[in-house]
Order: sequence, then structure tokens, then C-alpha cells
Amino acid sequence: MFYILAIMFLGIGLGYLIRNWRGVEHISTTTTVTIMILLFVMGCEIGANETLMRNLFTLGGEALVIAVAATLGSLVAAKVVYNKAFKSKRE
Amino acid sequence: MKGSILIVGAFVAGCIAGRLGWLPNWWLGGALSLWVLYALMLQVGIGIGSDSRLKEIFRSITPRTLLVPCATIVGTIFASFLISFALARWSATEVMAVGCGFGYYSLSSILVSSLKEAHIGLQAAAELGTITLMANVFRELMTLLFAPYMVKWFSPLGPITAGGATTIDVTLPVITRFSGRDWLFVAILHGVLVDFSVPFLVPFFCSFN
Repeated sequence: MFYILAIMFLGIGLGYLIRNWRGVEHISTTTTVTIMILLFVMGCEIGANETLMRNLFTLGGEALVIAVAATLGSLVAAKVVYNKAFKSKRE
Repeated sequence: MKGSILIVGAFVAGCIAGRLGWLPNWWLGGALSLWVLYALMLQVGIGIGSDSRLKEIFRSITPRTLLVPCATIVGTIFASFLISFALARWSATEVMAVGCGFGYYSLSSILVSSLKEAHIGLQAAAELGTITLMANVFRELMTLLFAPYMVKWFSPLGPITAGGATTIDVTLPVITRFSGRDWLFVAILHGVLVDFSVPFLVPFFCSFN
């Protein structure tokens, strides 16, 4: 986790130094491509994990129910906090 | 929209390739994904550093940003409690322990399977640990895949609270992409605090019989 943050802050410094170079505009495109590569690799790891694949349909159902509920709970709370504390202060 | 279809496509293609065993061994085991993640974080950093609105982003940090991790934690615990009534096999505190992984699947699944063993036995603890792993992988994946809709339906804070502990690394790029770079420091602060809560909240909910 700390390596990951350190690399990001290194990138911030690097980006600041090269901010006037025109090629830096393409960074959002390369970022999207890298997200796709990361999801492909994550998919490979999940697909190749025999135990996870075998249990995916039995325990996976229960896991999905909990994941959807927990995520929705946080999303609803996010909307409440945004409307109460953020919305009015951002035009 | 086109972007998220490409992202889903990349993930599905990866699952199929991994299942069919098309890939060399060095490809798996987490080392490659970690390096790709490093490359991603460097690019996210460059994107921020070269942004002309950098000072403005720094100024957006205020005490109310602490409400965001509170929303994540309270929302998840409350919803996990409610949904536990639909799951006959597991108690409310067990489901709340699964929820409190906040997407940090490696740590939370280990905590659940080892801490629940004394209460419910080896087999059931292993099953609950597997559920914890998958539920938290699903949470991370849902955030990566549905971030644009979360912004649309639940405000720019949506993908941040949905991402849970992962907003510090894996889901940070999609948050900056779909919520906007203004939310970057809110997402980082949120990620640090939620990440930190996992080793406290999961053992707490595992301690009930």
C-alpha cells in the first residue's frame, strides 16, 4: 500500500516537471489502457484459481448478495452525505 | 459507455484465458498484476502532477471530507445487518464481518477464516472465509465496472464509498476518471481511514458467537 502511494507521489512530481510538454495530454488514454490490462490480469488470476472457480457458484451466490447489499448501503450513505454536506457548497 | 464495455471485455477475456490455462505460470501469482498496478499509479500521478488545477484540488480538503469514510462504514454495517436476515446460514455479526472487509479481500478473508474457527468450526470458518474473499473481490470489481453509473445515480462520492479500502490503490484510477480529479484527495483520505478500520472492525464482528 505504501509503495503504491509512493509511486503515485513520484508520478505527481514527474507530472509537475513535465506539465508544459504537449505529450502529457495523452496520459488519460494510456491510463485507460492500463486499467484494461490490469482487469485482464485480474481476470486471469481469478479464472486460473481452481478453488475459487469451483466454489464460485455455491458460496459465490451468498458472497454476491452480501457484496451488493454492503455496496448499496455505502452508496446510499454517500448520496445522503453529498446532499447534506457537499452539494450546497459546490455551486 | 464504450470505455466501460472495453473494461468489462478485458476482464471477461482474462477470466476465460485463465480458466483455459492459456497463460504461462509467471503470468499468475500476483506479481504481474502488482507491476501493472505500479505502472497505473505512476500514470495516475503524472496525470495529477501535470494538472493545472492542482492548487485548487489541495484547497478542497476540509473537515467534512471525514464524513465520507463514516458514510462508507455506517452504510456497509447497516446494510450487512439488514441483508443477514435473508441469509439463513449465517448470523448478523458474521455477515457484518464479511461486509467490513470493504474490498480488502486478502486481509479480511484471512481474518475471518482464522478468527471464526474457534466459534463455528474449521469447515464453516473456511466457507465464511471464502465468502469474505469473494464478496470483497466482487465489491472491488463492481466499483471498477460500475463507477460511471455510481456517479450518475449516487453523486461523485458514490464510487469512493463503494470502493471502500481500495480507493487508495486499485479503484483510485476509476474514481479520478469518473468522479473527477477534484475528488482525488478525498478518495485517498477515505482509503487510508477505511483501510485502517478493517483490522479493527472484522475481528470485532468475529468475536460474537
